[in-house]
Amino acid sequence: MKLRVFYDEAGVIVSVVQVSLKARTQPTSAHYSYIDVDQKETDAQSLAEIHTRFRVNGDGRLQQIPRRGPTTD
Amino acid sequence: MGELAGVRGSVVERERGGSMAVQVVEQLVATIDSGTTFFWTMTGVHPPFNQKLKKSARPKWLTEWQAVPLVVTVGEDVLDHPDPRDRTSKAGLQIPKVIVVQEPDTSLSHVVVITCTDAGNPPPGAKFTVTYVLYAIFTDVK
Repeated sequence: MKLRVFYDEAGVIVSVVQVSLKARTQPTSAHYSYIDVDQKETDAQSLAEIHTRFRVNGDGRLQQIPRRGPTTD
Repeated sequence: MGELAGVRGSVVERERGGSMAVQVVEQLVATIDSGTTFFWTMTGVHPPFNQKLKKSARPKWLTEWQAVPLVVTVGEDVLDHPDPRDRTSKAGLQIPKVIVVQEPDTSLSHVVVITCTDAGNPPPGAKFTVTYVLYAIFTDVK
């Protein structure tokens, strides 16, 4: 599935988008940069999983966010 | 609505006779974080005028937008640091305004502002990600 990933200047993903084949318009966002990715190239099962588990690195590629361990406080 | 042929629609009866064609077309599925706002610029919205502008020109139909939340996802960082607000959180999507912009080629762009809030808690609310679908609603102008 072809997806467009929008991210801010820090590489934080702000939206992952799949445009409908029936769409009569072309969505864009002047506020953020974007990369086009194929979901098959990730191990993510959904748009939200890409949104929450990844960021975009300086080379313009998806990079998995290292998971922080739970705190004890 | 000849240009929308092939897209399923419905016909709604007007109060004073006649009929008004309404077509609902899915535009995109996207994600947004709670407590954030995203600005979509939807280009290529029905161009009302394909010739020079003139006073008698009118669009054939009007376009409205509606976003519907589909799935709420909580990130791993939130799972590791649970918050009492998570239990009462509710996904809320708001399109407070749509800005209609006329482009140089006389087509239109619509700037659709989508804000995601936690409707189940006072601000700032719980932290989650919503997957939503954005629909365009086309209504004939008679």
